[in-house]
Amino acid sequence: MPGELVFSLEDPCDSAVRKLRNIGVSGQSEMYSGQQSDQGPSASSGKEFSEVNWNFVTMHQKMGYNSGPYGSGPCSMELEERPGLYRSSTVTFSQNIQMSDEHIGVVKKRKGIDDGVALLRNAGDQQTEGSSQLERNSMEEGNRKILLKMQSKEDSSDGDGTKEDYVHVRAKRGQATNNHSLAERLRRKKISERMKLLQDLVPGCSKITGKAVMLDEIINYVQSLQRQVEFLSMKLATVNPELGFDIEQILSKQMMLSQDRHLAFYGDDVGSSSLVAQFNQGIMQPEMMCNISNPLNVFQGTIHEVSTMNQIPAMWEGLQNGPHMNFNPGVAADSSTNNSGSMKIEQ
Amino acid sequence: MAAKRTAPPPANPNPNRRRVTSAADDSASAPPSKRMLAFHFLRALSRIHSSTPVPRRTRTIRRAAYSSMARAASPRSAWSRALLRQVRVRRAVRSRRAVLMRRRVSAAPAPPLGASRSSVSAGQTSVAPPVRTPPPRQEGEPARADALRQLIPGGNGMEYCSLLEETADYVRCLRAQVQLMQGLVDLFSGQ
Repeated sequence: MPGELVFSLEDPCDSAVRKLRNIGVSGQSEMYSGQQSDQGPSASSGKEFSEVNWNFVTMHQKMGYNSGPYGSGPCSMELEERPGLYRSSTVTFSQNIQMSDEHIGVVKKRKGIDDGVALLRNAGDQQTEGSSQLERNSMEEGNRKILLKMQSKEDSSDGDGTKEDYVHVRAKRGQATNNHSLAERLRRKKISERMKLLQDLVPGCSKITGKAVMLDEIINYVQSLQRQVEFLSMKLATVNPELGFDIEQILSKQMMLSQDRHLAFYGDDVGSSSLVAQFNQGIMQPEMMCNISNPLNVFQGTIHEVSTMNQIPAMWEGLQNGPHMNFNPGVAADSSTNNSGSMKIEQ
Repeated sequence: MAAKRTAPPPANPNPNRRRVTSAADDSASAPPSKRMLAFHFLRALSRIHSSTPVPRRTRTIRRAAYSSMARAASPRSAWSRALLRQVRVRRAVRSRRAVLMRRRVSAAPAPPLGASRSSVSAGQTSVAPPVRTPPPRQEGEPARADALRQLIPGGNGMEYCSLLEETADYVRCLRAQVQLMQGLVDLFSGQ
């Protein structure tokens, strides 16, 4: 339900809502007092109203992005819901308001309905239908209608509607401000943003303009990467690793201590204590026996972290104040003390 | 070599650095952590080399590469979840098949053979991940987008918009994985 989505965003905006409401109220009274043919003051107030709305609405946009996972689904639903509301309520309001095609999406809030409803009721009792719809949809219809009147009154010389759908989509002059076209435009904007991202990722695509060619390039690139993975896995299968693969233990030790979050998330089954226990021996032995330092030299250019793993023991002492690990080949003999020490670190 | 070992390490505040990289997400996805990649992949690699016989290693290593990629990636991305789901399904299928094979071997030859074979196939189809029909919501490019969907794991259930985002994340992770594997190959073959 879009209503629920709105609800979550309610609180940070309270002050802005009130500001909006105030201006809306004043604007509306102006409308009432003035005539419906009077364009001047309402136009200007409409403009400033739109200014305020813009600021308010940008805040909304940020929050809209925070609720990202919902994507554009619920938002588009809301857009579609609006026309009905508009039609029912605006007709009752005043006659020369152009109808729903001119509507502008407004900030959706739950609060402030009361004021809007009150104003509506003042205007006439045909509002009951509108107000009931208001309550049903729990949106700030009052402000929205005010905004609608404002902006439909002004001859929209700037042609601007501040559409608000948790994300800004600004209608250019002469563009339809229909619900569907709004959603369309939003979607297109998202797609173009993402294509730009992809363009940066895929090498050699900076010059390409046009979605079709770009998409082909992306597909080619992904395919080539996958082929590379296949090829490299074949190579890795044939090449026999001569390291004692206690490097893996070193790595796992690193992982254990500094990225518990990831592991906890995946519920990894890596036993930390056993690795810790073998840590010291693990480091020393392969380095002594397998003559690792040379290949790790090569490694250093390509994979940074393993080279740093090579120097873990020295760093370890710096990092931890606990036990002392003697960095000499004889440490394997002290395994018991080292184990206890490192176990202490773990806890 | 001894000098290399005792040389002062490069300034490397490990815990902080990794936290920073993992916390650095934009509204797009964060770059994959290379440590996690290396960790998972190396662990799988060592396991493979010790256990699997040679003829089927390539496939296994490739699968291990994708699995480690999926694990290292942020679980927010849909493709990583889809990949892990695939792995789980495959494992379930394989275990089921192993069980049925055992039953088949132990039981009488002809009728249980047919039964087990059909049940194996049935089991496969039933355990197979539910094929989601592609949502016909695209107004973008339908033809090529399907090709992209097939490439990206889990791409069949996505809209075009989210497909692009997943592609970006997938490309980043894939590139990191390729770099890792290339480095390993160089390492191993450089000895």
